[in-house]
Order: sequence, then structure tokens, then C-alpha cells
Amino acid sequence: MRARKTRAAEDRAPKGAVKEKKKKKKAPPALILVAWFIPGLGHWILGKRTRALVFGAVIVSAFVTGVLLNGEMGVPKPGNPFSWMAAFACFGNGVLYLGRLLWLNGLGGLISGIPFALQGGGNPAAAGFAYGNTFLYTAGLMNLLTVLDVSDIACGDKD
Amino acid sequence: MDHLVLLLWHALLISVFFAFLWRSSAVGRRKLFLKTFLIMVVGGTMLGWLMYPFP
Repeated sequence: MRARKTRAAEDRAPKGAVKEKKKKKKAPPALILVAWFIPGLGHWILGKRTRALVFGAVIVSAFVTGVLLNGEMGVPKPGNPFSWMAAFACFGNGVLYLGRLLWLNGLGGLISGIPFALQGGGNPAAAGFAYGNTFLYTAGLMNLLTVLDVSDIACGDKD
Repeated sequence: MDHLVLLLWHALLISVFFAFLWRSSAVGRRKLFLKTFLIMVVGGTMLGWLMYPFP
């Protein structure tokens, strides 16, 4: 019944309007990439300056806390499927993740070490190791959420 | 670093983040921030107490 009503409404509407409604606007891939790479930059580009500054500050603070607490950057390890999840969460940190891996492995080590020979740093014997990991994963996942938010704003689904 | 300080710091960061992600008005952000911050701090402390007898 409802579908019939919708179809009837579509029949009454001009053809162009229906087509326009069906075509969903997509976020530019470059914007998504930038939003992931530098926390907060996607919102800044879209004119959401306050949100950009807050997101950038929160994500960088969480990341720095994780590093200071001797947390380990998630890197894939052979025979450990959960390490891929940790790596995905940390990968969300964008330039922070890549910069930290570059710092720990050097350029040669980073290029040749992908995927299983990368060093994630951290000190498992340190008191703050588990907390540090949590901060690092949280920072990355928050940045991934900001990427989704940027996509929604660019599509017009959100203010 | 003190465990409680880390709990407060983590709860603060997460609460600020979600307040700005999910709300657009200042009042809405303040309300959500307070709600999530309190839930995380009180809930985390309570869980800590509940787990105290376990090894």
C-alpha cells in the first residue's frame, strides 16, 4: 500500500526531480583522504572550524598520551589475527601513525618491514603499557569517526 | 601515572569528542558531555570496585 502511494507520488512529480532525489551526492575522495591524514583538517576545509580544532586537539592529545605511556603502535604480526584489528585502529591516526612508525623503523625499515617486520615501539614491562595502547587505539578510532562525519557533512546528510 | 588520573583524562577526551560529534548546540554539547563523562567515571570506578575481590 505504502509502496503504491510512493510510486503514485513519483508519477505526479516531474521526472527530473525524482532523478535528482535518487542521485546521492558523494564526498570527494581527496577530502576523505585529507580528513584521515591530518586529524581535524577535513572539518576545517568544510568550514567547521570549532569542531576541527576540538577534534584535532582531542586526537593528538590521546595519541601523545598513548606514546608517553609507552603504548605500542598496532602493527600486523604473523599468526595473530587480533593484531590486524589493533593495526587498523592505530592506522586511523593518519600522519601520526605513519610518523611514529617512521620514527621507530626509519624509512628503509618502514618500506622493507611491511607488513610483518614493523616495530610498534612501546614497552610491555612499563606500568602504563595497556593504558597507552588504549589511548592509541582510541585516538585512531576517533579519527576514523571524524572521517565518517566529514563524509556525511560533504554529502549534505549532516550540518 | 595515577590510574584515576588516566581514567579522568580518558573520559574527558572521549566525552568532549562525542559532545562535539553528536551535538551542534552549546547546551546539547554541555549536557552530553556531562552525561558521558559521569557515566564513564562513575561506571569505571564501580566496575573497579566490583572486580576488586578477583585476582
